Amino acid sequence: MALLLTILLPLFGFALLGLFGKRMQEPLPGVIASGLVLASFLLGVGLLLSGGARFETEWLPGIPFSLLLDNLSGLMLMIVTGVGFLIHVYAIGYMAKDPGYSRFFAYFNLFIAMMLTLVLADSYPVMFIGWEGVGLASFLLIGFWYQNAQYADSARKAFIVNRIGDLGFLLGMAILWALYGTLSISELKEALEGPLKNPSLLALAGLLLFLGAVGKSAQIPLMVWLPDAMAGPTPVSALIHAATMVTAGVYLIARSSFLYSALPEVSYTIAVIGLLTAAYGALSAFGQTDIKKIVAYSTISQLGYMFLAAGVGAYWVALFHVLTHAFFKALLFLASGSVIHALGGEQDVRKMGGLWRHLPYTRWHGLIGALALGGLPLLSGFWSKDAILTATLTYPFGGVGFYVGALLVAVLTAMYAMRWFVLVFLGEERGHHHPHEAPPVMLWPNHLLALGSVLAGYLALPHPLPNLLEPFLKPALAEVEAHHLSLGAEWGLIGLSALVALLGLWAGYTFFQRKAFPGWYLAFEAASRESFYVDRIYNALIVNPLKALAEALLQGDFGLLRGYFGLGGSVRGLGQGLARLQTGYLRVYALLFVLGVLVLLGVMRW
Amino acid sequence: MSYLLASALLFALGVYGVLTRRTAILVFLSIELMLNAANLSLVGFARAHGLDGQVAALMVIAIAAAEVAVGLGLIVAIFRHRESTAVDDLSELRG
Amino acid sequence: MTLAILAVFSVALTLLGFVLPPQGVKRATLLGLALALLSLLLTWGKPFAFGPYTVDGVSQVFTLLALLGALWTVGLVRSRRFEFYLLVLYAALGMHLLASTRHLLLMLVALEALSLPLYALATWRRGQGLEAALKYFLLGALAAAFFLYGTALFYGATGSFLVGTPGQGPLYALALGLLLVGLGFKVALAPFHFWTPDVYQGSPTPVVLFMATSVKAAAFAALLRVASPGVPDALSLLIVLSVLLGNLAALGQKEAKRLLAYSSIAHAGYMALALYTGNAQALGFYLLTYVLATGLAFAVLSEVSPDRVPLESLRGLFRKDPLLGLALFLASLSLLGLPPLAGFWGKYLVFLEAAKAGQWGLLVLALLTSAVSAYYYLGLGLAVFQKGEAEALPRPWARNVALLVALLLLLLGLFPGSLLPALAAGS
Repeated sequence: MALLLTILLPLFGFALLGLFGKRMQEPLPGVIASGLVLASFLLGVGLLLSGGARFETEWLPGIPFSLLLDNLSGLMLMIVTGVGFLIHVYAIGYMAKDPGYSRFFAYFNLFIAMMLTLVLADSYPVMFIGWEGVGLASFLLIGFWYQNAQYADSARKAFIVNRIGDLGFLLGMAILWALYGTLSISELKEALEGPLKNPSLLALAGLLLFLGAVGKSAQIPLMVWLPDAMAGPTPVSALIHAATMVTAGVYLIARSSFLYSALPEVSYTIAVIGLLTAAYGALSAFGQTDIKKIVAYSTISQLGYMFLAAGVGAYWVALFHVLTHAFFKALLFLASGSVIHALGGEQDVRKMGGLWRHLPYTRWHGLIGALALGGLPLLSGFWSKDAILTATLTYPFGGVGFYVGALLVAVLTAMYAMRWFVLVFLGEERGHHHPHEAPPVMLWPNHLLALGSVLAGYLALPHPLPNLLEPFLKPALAEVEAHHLSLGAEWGLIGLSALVALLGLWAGYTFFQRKAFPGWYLAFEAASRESFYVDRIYNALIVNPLKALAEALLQGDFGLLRGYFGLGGSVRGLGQGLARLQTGYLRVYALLFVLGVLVLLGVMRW
Repeated sequence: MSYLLASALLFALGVYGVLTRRTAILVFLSIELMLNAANLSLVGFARAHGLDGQVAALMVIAIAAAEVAVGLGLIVAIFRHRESTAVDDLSELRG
Repeated sequence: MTLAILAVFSVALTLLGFVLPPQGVKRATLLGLALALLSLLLTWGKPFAFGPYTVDGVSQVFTLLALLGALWTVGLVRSRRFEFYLLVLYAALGMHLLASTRHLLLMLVALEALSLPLYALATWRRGQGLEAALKYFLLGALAAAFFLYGTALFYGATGSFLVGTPGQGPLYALALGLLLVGLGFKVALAPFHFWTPDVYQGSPTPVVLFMATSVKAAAFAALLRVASPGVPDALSLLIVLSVLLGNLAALGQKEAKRLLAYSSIAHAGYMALALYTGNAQALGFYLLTYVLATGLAFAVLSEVSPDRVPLESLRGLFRKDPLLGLALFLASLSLLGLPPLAGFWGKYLVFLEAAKAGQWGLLVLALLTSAVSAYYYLGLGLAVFQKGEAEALPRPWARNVALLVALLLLLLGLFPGSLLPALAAGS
């Protein structure tokens, strides 16, 4: 019951603020929302310390509503509510004076409640409720400033692309149900222990579930929604599109590790997709000019790393990276938010620069965040990224290839992290603004996140140093056989990756301070700015055929969404034609009625 | 069998009337014709199956009377409101 | 018991109506309906039979839904003439009877007993109300004639008036087809749906609430009995037409009541999917979620205006009255069948029945059209959040009920299992 309360608390906040928030004075809605998330955090930690918890009640025929708090969901619960609490507090300052202040916190609490449902679920349908619920909250928050048509379109794009993934999730569930007659994760875990019943069908189920994860976590080929999702307020980007919701896909794989560890081919696919996405995100980050989109592409790339880790069977490492990433990416977003706040809404990095002098605290947040992302040795990002690199090398199927790829992406990561930092904080001032530092209510969360970005990595140091996280998570995850590296080799590799990170950081630092760039770089940047034309390719391959269909009835449209709505328009045209049958003349109705009777009698089998 | 044929014919006539008459009263009258067609077949079937059918026919007459009460009231109200009972005049609600 | 209570109250109030003030009649009607509901709950799961009047699980579940709709309607209306309440009471009596018999003649009597008051109720607003009522009446009488002819043929083919009597031959098939026409009209299955949009638009909103919820529930109970021994194969045609026509025609609607009328046609199509296996539990649950959601939507609309409700006039409702706005939003999401709202499970259960019956083509069509329906349900639901000047003068009573039902939709969506065993009584 207490476990259910962790979900009900923020849900209560959603109802309270949704109904009565309008009548409350600022900052009361923000304080209530933050307080409830903190309460949920404390309750969750308390339950975890008392050895986990379980909740089950009658729900659907054959499917109970079951929640489970074990170490795996406990870790996620702490990330969601802990980092979530800090971002809530930050938003008290960031959203001040916004006309939708209470609505924002209502949605934010709804998101936390749904994310907790997703994380705590012990059966796939329950997880699916959370899965859809966070999608809904994300939709509402991306389109938070819905008066701006483009933002509202972004929200719909995110929703629609996610639906493709959700379909995979649903079909995957259906197959599991057909095979085992249960959707409880604990029961499936036991059922899968013996020899597999129908390996090829099971692999299909695994792939379909992974498709759900691909949609939610913005992996290739469904990554197009995440950069556009930056239309929402910055705390939304930090909480939903960096720290928590997008890692739900990784969590799903980890939760289902018992399934994926039995399916090496599917795992291999996951690793390949992860590595490709990591590279794609990193390359695309170079050309972006929107301060938040740079960070958004880096999120895609880092999520790719997590999937790579999960794919090679190092599930705990994937969660380790989820943890460190939650800290430094939330920090980067909130620092970006502070910068945007300081410049009165400016988001274009070409109009920034030279903020080092003006923002005495935020500059350090930005620096720590960028360095942690870039993998500077001894910061959290370094430890988790290094753990991923080591894990790829122990992977029996082509581990070296994965290792080299991941290492190259690490260099790129370090470089674009520095590009972000250099463009925003160093160099000369390119805009005409009067920057001012953020208020304390926005600074303190960042202080704590910065602390986390430095220290979170020490939870799991490489062998033989102490590693707290791995034994903590082990019981909840499946084991995958991997060969072990010798101590010397491991530390040699750590040295190598440290060297590579330093090299990348230094290269980025010097290169992006240059006044003029070589021609090849400019060409690359132009392609990168368009994210390698993926949106256009999608438009050409998927949207335009639909569009051609729609255009027959409707005027021309552009883009994925417009195409979608164009299709809607043509269906609507059909509907209006049908509604024209409804002439209003009684005798026409009677005639159609009688015709209907004749047709009905005609099709009957006599 | 001839009862059945007559009843089917009567029913078809009723349907034809519903489709072709323009005033509400006559449309309604045609529907009454259809009810009576059903009555005829009920009575006809009663020859084979016992008295149930005849009782049913009596009941249907009562039902039809109730329908008439409401229907004529309605049609009178419409006539008072717009001085016409042509069903084709009533086409404000559509789409 | 239920029948006796409804009958006694109907007769007594007909006489007392001339001396009591209208408010008194309203209270007495509410009392009668509530007592009937109570007696239903007290005898829940216990079958009872008296001649052709048989109370079983199906009858109880569907009567419950019909009575809920009737209570809601009476509560929402403040009429200066006592006849309004009486007519609702008569109709409720007819509904209970319709849900509680296998005897075709009694069904016909019940059908008329529920329809005739409704024709009168539809005229409650003169002008367009008269047009709506005439259309409803003439088409309804036509459908009743088909139903009666079906009854006569059924009698001819089997020698009995009890549905479920086995039979064969063209006469029997024809009879079942005609019965299907008569009841298909009542539940608004295409192509016998033509009255629905016009009547919904022209009638006062609380009456529409009654038509959309109670009538559908009672008529589906009868349809379940008529179709259960072996579904006439023409049913698939009705389902295909209903889900296509209902959903597509709703896309272009600009008036909320008309939009919901088309949506009710589509829902009738989805509900008919459950007839293939005759599973009363699935159908009952679907109807429950449908009654709650569509009732909620009409209840909100009736607070906005008793008359026409163009979609534009809903804009800004959330700002004006958050509770009503949210209620309409939740209702339309539930009608759309979005988890975690109750409507999702209704669809899930019914679609499951279609899958069990092997109707894969219908299932795919149902899924596709239900995706199409997202356009107009979201349009309706999101309209309340847009900028605009909605007017609403909700009474506290109506607001509380709206809140209650909205919570119920959420709770049922989160824990559908809590009610399912109670509904299983009928299957």
